[in-house]
Amino acid sequence: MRILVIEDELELRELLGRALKKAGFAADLIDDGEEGLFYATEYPVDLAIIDLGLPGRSGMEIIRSLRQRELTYPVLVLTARSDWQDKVQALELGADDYLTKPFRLEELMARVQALLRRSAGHATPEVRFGPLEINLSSQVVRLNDQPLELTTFEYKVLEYFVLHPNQVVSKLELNDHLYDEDADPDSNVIEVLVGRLRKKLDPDARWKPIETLRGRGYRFQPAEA
Amino acid sequence: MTRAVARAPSLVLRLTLGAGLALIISLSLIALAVDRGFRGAAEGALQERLESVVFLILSTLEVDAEGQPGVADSLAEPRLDQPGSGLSAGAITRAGAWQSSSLYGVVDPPDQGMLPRNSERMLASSDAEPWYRYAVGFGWEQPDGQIIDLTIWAAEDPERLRRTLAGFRGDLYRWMLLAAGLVIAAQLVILLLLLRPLRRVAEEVGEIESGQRAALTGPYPRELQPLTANLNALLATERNNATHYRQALADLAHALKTPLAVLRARLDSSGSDHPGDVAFANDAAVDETLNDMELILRRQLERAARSTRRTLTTPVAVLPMLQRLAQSLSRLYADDGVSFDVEGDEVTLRIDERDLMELCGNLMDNAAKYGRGRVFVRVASGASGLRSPGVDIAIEDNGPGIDGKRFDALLQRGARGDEQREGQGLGLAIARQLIEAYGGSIDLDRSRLGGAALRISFPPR
Repeated sequence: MRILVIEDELELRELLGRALKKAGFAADLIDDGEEGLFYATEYPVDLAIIDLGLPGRSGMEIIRSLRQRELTYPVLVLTARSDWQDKVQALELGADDYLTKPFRLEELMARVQALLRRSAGHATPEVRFGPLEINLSSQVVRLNDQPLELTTFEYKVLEYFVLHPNQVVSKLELNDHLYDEDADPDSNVIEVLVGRLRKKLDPDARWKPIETLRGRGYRFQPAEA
Repeated sequence: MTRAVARAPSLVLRLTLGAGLALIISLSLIALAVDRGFRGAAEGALQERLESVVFLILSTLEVDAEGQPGVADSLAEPRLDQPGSGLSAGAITRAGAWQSSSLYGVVDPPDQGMLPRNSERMLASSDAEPWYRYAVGFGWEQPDGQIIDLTIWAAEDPERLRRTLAGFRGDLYRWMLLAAGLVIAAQLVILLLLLRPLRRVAEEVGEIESGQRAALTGPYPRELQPLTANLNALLATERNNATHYRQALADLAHALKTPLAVLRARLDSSGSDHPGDVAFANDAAVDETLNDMELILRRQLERAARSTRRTLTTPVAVLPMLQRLAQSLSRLYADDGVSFDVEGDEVTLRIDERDLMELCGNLMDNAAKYGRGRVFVRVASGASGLRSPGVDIAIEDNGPGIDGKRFDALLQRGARGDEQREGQGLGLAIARQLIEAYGGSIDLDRSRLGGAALRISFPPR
């Protein structure tokens, strides 16, 4: 999952980036409104964390522009103002949640997880697909009620599939959403990751939850289990 | 809560009463002077008339050898011959007296004594002697060369003068009353014309208050222009200041809270990826201090925000605003499946929109946080008032409810009911202060949903 952070305060931005990466997200960190809007509209973002008081272009304007361009990914607003008029204004413009500064990192992470889950149509953090059970909040994966050990990137791939079930996901898309801008992974890394994930999820090759579509990418089809 | 307002008398009343009083005094003085003047003139004319009668008698008088005065049968003044005509005359010597035939049958004739020679006397009517009398003392030379004392008098019944005076006074008062009426009417018309610009100011201020206009536009007479110009300047300053302060506060909040957010984030992420961060090694004391700083900052910013409140508030439509809040809150509580029902009357309330949103937002947020999935908000017209009725808002939830004692404690700023869930105490306290700032009240009740029902009442205006 790729998260865009638009925050002008350097240290806070870095801390957020570090915390997000630690939680397994790809994070793009932007420090000004104008550039933020460019990233938010031109890059494959899964969720944006936007500070309202930004230089260049205000957070409110960015949200408005995003929604006008029919970009529907969740937006979490960071604001120093705690009054309801600002909150309501931000929510009406299309923000999905807000967090008043100062905030706890755990709370930020919980909100991010909840927003991502909600945007994929899941009301609770526990998602079940046949023998597979994933808790998107605690990131615990169980297969046939047994804990399943996954590496960070394997989990990231699985999470992306789980949040986009029955959709064609290209390698490029996976690449974009798993790595931030600075990373430049080898082109076959995705193939290797998906291969390893397949083996872990379906050791007997009976369930086949991940379909390969030649030249187009992958499709996670848990319903056929 | 209603406040008894001592009503100052209106300008029209003041001016009408003042000018009316001055008019009555001046017209009374004028009437008195005219009356005195007329009476003096009438009495002067009477005296002249009596004088001419005296000289008429003198010219026709004869005194016989015994000194008895007498007059030829007919006189040039016919009233002297008519009994009861009110005009009489007579002549007196030491030997006898003559009086005009107009006194025949008169019960109480004038009682005139002798006057010394070469003297005259005018006597006004009095209770003892009702006749106006004029008498002159002469020396009368008899054919034998002897000079005897002769007094000739003329008298008039006061009734004639009284009738003249009464007729004159009747006319005088009628005309005076007419003049007073005209002056008062003219004054009222002038007053209304003069006060029209002031009424216009009041109307325009009313329109500013209701948000229909931004400034007084006139046209206003030169004398009022300093007032309207200053009022416009005041309004503009107030508007600018409110915006300016609000912006400054937002900047201040940003400037203060962002470093706090950095500290908080560093504290939260310390230990794991900052092994060298000894100072931030998950210190509970630092955490507590940060909490305190945050609370103090929020309180102070909230207090400062209240000072930016506009004096002239416009009516806010309450129901749509509550619906907006409900919609926003539904979005925030989407995961928890909290449902918000807002219903009620289309009422307006004169309040700073930010304040209403703040207090309702805080209370509805609390209801969502502490309820069990249902929040019910109702707005209704309250007690009726002169300009606009009061407004009652009820915010109810289906949670466990709040204990009365704890509610009172929660209303005190900063006290919290549940340390696990941040902010409720402050939210309630902020709401209470905002409600009280507008003269309203907040009470705790039991909701029919089973939880707490907060009933807010704003007074009528």
